[in-house]
Amino acid sequence: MSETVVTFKNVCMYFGGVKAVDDLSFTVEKGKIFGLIGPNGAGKTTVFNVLSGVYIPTSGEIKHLDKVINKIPAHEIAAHGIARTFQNIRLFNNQSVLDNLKIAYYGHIKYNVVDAILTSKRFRTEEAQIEKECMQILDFLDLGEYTHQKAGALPYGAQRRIEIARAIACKPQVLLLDEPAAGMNPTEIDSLNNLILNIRDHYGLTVMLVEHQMRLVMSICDEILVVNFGKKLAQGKPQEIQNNPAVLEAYLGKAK
Amino acid sequence: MNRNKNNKIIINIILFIIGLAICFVFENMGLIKSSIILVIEYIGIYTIFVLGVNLINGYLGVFSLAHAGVMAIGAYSSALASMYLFDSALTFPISILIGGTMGMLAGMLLAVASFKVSGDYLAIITLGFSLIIKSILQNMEFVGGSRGLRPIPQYTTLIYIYICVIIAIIVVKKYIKSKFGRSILAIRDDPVAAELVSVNIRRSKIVAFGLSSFLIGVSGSLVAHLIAYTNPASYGYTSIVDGLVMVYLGGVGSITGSIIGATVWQILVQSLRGIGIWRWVIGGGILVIVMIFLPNGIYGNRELTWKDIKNLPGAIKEKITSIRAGKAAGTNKKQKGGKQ
Amino acid sequence: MSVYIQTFANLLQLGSIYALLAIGFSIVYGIAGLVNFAHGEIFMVSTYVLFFAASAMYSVFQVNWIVYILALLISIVVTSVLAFGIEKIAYRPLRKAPKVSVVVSSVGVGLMLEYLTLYFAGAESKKMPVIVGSTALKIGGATISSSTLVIIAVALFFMIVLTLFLQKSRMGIALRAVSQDEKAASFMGISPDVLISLSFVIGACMAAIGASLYSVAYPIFDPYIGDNINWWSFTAAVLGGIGSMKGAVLGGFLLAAVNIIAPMLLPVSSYRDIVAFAVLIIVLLIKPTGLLGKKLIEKV
Repeated sequence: MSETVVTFKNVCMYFGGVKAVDDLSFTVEKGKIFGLIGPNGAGKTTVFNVLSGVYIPTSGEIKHLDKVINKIPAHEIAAHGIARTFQNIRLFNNQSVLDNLKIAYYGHIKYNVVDAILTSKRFRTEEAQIEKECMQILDFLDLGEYTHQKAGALPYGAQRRIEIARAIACKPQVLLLDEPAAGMNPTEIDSLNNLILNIRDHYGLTVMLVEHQMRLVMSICDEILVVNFGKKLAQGKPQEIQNNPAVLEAYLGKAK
Repeated sequence: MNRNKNNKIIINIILFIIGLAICFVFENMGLIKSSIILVIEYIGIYTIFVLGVNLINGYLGVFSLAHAGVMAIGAYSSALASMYLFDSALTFPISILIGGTMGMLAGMLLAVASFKVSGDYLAIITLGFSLIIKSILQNMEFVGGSRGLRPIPQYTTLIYIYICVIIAIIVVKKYIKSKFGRSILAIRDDPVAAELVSVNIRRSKIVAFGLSSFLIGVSGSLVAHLIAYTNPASYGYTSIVDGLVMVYLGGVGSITGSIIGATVWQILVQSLRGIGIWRWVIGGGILVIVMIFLPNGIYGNRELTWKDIKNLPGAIKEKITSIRAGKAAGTNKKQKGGKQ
Repeated sequence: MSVYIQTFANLLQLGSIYALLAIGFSIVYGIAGLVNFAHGEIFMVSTYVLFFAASAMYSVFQVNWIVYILALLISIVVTSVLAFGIEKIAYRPLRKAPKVSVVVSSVGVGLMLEYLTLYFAGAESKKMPVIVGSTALKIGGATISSSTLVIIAVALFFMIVLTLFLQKSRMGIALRAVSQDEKAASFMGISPDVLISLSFVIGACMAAIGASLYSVAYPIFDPYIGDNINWWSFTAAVLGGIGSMKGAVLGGFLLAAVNIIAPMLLPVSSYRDIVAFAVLIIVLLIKPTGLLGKKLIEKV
């Protein structure tokens, strides 16, 4: 039942003299919502960056399911099942919302250039399937009205959901959300809370969450990892973390 | 639904045959001045050329100046094939394919160069590529050196061009609607995000450069067999700038734009032959003015659809009313598709 | 032995000229972020200005040095005004646009300069009057023209002047600041607009000085030389790493070495360009940002 989906083993990420991630080890269990918190500059986004393949770790091992992924290119990691959103929204602004999602299918599509140009049966079947699945995702996330509109022109809240939708379109097992609650008020955060739980249940995902909004983190996470200066400070259930003196000391913010 | 699709296909086939018939008439019945036919032929050839250049400079958003060199490769290789290997009018398609394929191979090499090297450096490398190809050809006595290659059999006819243009447009259309086309648009907008949603950027670029150079090579083959002669000087700055003007004027990332660019520029160039060097001052001026006032070109990042044509009368009325209302509809500077 | 000295002298001469060209190009790139395709044509125009100024003055003053300096000054002024004007009309409106736009615009500008010069001055090659008299000097058994030494000396002089300007003067420091971070420079109280215009003017000065030296060594010119100059400036700058002054100098001498030594070793001298291109590719394969170029890490 508790299968491990992500493993970090003694991972270090050094940029010249800066130790962004320093000997970090942890595991993430399937189906859980795993929070990653820490003060600003603690290395949280770097963890996501190493995991998703933006950087190759200086040393250490990262595993996704049973595959060692710290040396393979980012697009393969994404195709293998780790998808993410970004702190600053990075949509394909000049493409339609639907196309934004379709692009995520790149790693899963089997047809080749010849198929595409001759619009063979394989091409048409796969494309029809992609369209259907993307529409379903858009529907599930209440984005149907924006389907054919340019992603760059849409309101901020919608864009955040589109980024999540696009990540889901990658057909991941693990979804990395990088500060999804940024700039939200409490009502919106509660909505997001429900959304994340729904997505997790509907798509059978494991979710990793970097977040500053403690309201969301404490409410939704099954397990929390606290990092500071790139090192693990504490790991445990929300209750334990909230009462951990070292965490309170490192964190000048208060848990809401 | 299916009946609509079948209707569409039938209409397209009928239009195609009508076009074919028109070409036949133009070519053989002497109803139109041969100089005008020549312009139409150039428009056709350069439409294919611009479609190729646009895939890289427009859709993918990479500033490349290699198109002159690729066209040269296409022209020379197909000419040599026709002169020494497949010297019959019936085997002309094979020569065209050879020209396209040789171009494609060169393009794929360029794709590899683009992996490691950033935008500005890539501009310089692609410039170097075109200049070096020209230099190599100038030094190859086997193909006539600076004097050029002649006589190339004159196999290109209006019908050949027409068929090639139609095929080119269809191929590009299908490419854009597939995962490959989507991926280069994504790379243009945000390469890092593209990679993180599973786009294999290297493979994507190889396909893009390959298809682009294939088309450019085909255009080179057609032009070489049209004027029965080709020389290295045709593939220097002249050709490089021509490509840039047609793409940026007509419209980046657009099939319609490519056709417009080729049409406008070729008409200008062919009809102003007597003006000589002013063509270049105009061309240079067009580049500057387009960049400042119309950065996406006349028809950038969108396509002319049947709906647009049906709506044309309404759209014209709307435009007139808005101009009358004093609103300058054209002051909105549209930014090019693609950041940084 | 004398062959080596001869070659070395040629190398220093050509290298100095390439270095100046590369510096002019690099400064504009480093500060304005622009690959200026009009660089070579600006060089070409300043050659023509030099030519007309020198020819006119030669009939008035007979003394070489006065003519040279006056003609050079006129050329520098005209070229700077031209560069300033180009920047204002064709580049500044594109300050906020994507980088490609301004590069394409520069291609257009270069084109117009080339063909307008062609129209007004004619296509035939002209010969620059000999303003710097050259005497043959014997050094170590080799015959070296004094003009070679003059070229090297003048180039060196202006490189030092420029370096001092960038290191010591307020404007110079601001220029270096804006190449790192545009906003930060504006906090210093000097507007980036002024600095970018200034960088173009400096680039033009380097081109004009380079042109005057180039025409001493290679007095024949026509409206088309801009294309070659562009290519050499780009190659030299890229070899050393665009945006780096030291890189420009290094790249300039490296390119000069290739251009001088390759024809000596190859059967056909016109393969020289291909060798230079090959060297460029090889260097970029090993160091994609040029020999002294900096690597940028993008923040995700």
